[in-house]
Amino acid sequence: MKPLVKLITAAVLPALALGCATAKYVDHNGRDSIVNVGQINTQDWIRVADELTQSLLLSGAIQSVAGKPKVLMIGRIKNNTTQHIDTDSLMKKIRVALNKGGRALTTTAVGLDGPEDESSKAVRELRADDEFNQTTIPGKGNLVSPDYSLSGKIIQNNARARRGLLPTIRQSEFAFQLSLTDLKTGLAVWEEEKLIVKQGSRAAVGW
Amino acid sequence: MRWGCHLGFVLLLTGCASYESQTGSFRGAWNGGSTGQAAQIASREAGKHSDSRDAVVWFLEQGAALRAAGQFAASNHAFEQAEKRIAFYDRQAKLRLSREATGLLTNLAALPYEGRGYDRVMLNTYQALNYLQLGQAETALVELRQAHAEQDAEVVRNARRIVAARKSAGEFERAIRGAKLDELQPDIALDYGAFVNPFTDFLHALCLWSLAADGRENALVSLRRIHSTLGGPGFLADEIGMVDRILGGAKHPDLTYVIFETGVAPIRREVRLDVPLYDKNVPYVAAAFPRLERRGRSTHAHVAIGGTKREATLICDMDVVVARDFRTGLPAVIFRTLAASAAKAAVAKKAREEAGDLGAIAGFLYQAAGAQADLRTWTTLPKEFRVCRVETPGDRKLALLVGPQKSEVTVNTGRVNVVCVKSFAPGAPLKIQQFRLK
Repeated sequence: MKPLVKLITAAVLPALALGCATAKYVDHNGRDSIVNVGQINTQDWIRVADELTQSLLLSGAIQSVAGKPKVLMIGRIKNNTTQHIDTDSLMKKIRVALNKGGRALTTTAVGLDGPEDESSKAVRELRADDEFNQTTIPGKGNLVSPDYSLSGKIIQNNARARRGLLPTIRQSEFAFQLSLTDLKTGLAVWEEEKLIVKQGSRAAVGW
Repeated sequence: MRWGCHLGFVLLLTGCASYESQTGSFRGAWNGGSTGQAAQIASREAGKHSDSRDAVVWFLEQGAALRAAGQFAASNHAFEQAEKRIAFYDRQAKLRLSREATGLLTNLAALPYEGRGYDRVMLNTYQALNYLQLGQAETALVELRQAHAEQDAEVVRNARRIVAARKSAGEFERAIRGAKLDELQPDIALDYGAFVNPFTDFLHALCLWSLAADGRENALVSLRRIHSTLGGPGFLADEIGMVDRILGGAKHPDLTYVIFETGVAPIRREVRLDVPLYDKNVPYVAAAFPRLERRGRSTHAHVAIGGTKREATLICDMDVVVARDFRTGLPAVIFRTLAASAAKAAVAKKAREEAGDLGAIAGFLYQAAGAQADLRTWTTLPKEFRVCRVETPGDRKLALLVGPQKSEVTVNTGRVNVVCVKSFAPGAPLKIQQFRLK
């Protein structure tokens, strides 16, 4: 009967071995955050955005004139990785830093495929509507054209190697490239590339 | 007498009609293209089974049938019911002791149908198509993001299943070899690898570049992945180039995408085999296993404008998607079926020893009724998804051809339109639906 008992035990026993994890809050940049080799994690976005912002600010490419901040539009950020990502995870952090520093404001009224926010256009369409007090509707010539455009590319390269009897090590390299173009001259007045290289055999917790 | 009572109770659990026979009339209506009748039958059965172990699979059938019948809101309601059930099962422990014990004493068909990986992806895909049809683009994008997440989750689940199967197969290697259980493996010419369903990714890409306010670059990520998975078809290379130009700010002409859903997905049939267990008390067991059976043949589809005919490209062969899932899950099914059959044989032997002839009869009935394979599968899924993109002609008229069948449609006005064509068995009328993306 032994093999039969063994067989039934093998089928049922795994149920007893399963535990459950409790949900908890973690510091988004701390040691408890999850690290995935093939993905860009929250802490990667934070680190890269900080480094790129510092580089842009130190370059002096954007200087406010008489305390008046320059106007920036967001160009195309190409995603050449193998995963779906929200590039706002990077761009929003840079925009916020420039805005807070008083160097530049971002226009949401101009974009490569139409405005980021349609409201500026929508409110102007009320000009022919008698139901609205026309003095409260923005007049013509108030929208500000951008001075600069910020565009870039995120690239992923993967590699794997096996060393002796050790498990296969996977490596992912993410390159974050940004360019700031002066829209008057079409010249790139600032360019930078930051790398994130991650290595491991599976997902881990910790920075 | 006590044994008789116990066996009688278990017989009640096991002695149900297989899903294959339950769905006979429904599949007849569906294959004949009577979508209204199929929707009625599915709705009746889904209502009847709403609290049973078959609830999920019936809600899926109901959702697909209502969608084909043009009842998009009702279809989404059925899909939501299926989704809630699946979420309920997911919240339970991954492996429940009571569930496994039920499986051992009865059969795998007596366990709840929790939705296969590709079911979950297609459920979100059909919901997205329904929302697009209802003009709710944002909600459609939510469904497509969920489908994307389900695809990623399924890749991980698949990997886990393969590891678990390799571990458990060792225990039954002799038995599996002796009974030639390897023959149950479906023959797959193609393999989409990590992909669960390239069509879902294609639809997501299409919606991202044409509809979404952000994340539009992700359309190219999806298109590049499908392009490499499908061996680099010209249509997708062309699509990547076009989307890249559009995302760079280039204008595009009015476009119409025609999605052809042709044929029907495979079903499961039962195979009964005597399997030697090499145990002196239970030398062999009679066990029932599922075998995948393909239905119909691949059908080419074309879009004709005037005298020009353009062939639609195969984006997803659902036979491959279903077969991959079946193949990955088969070792676990074999392992659990053998364990259940052995447990039942042991119970029957004990009944014979304790209750004589009466026990022997009860034991025989218990074993016979309990040997039933799990044949449940979403039968209304198509065999293939093919896609063709054309510049919308001035008169907006397209001729749609699926095999020998032909139908005409006048496309809506719009920058990007989608026409969905559903074909059933040869001779059954084509079902055509359309919506505007941009």
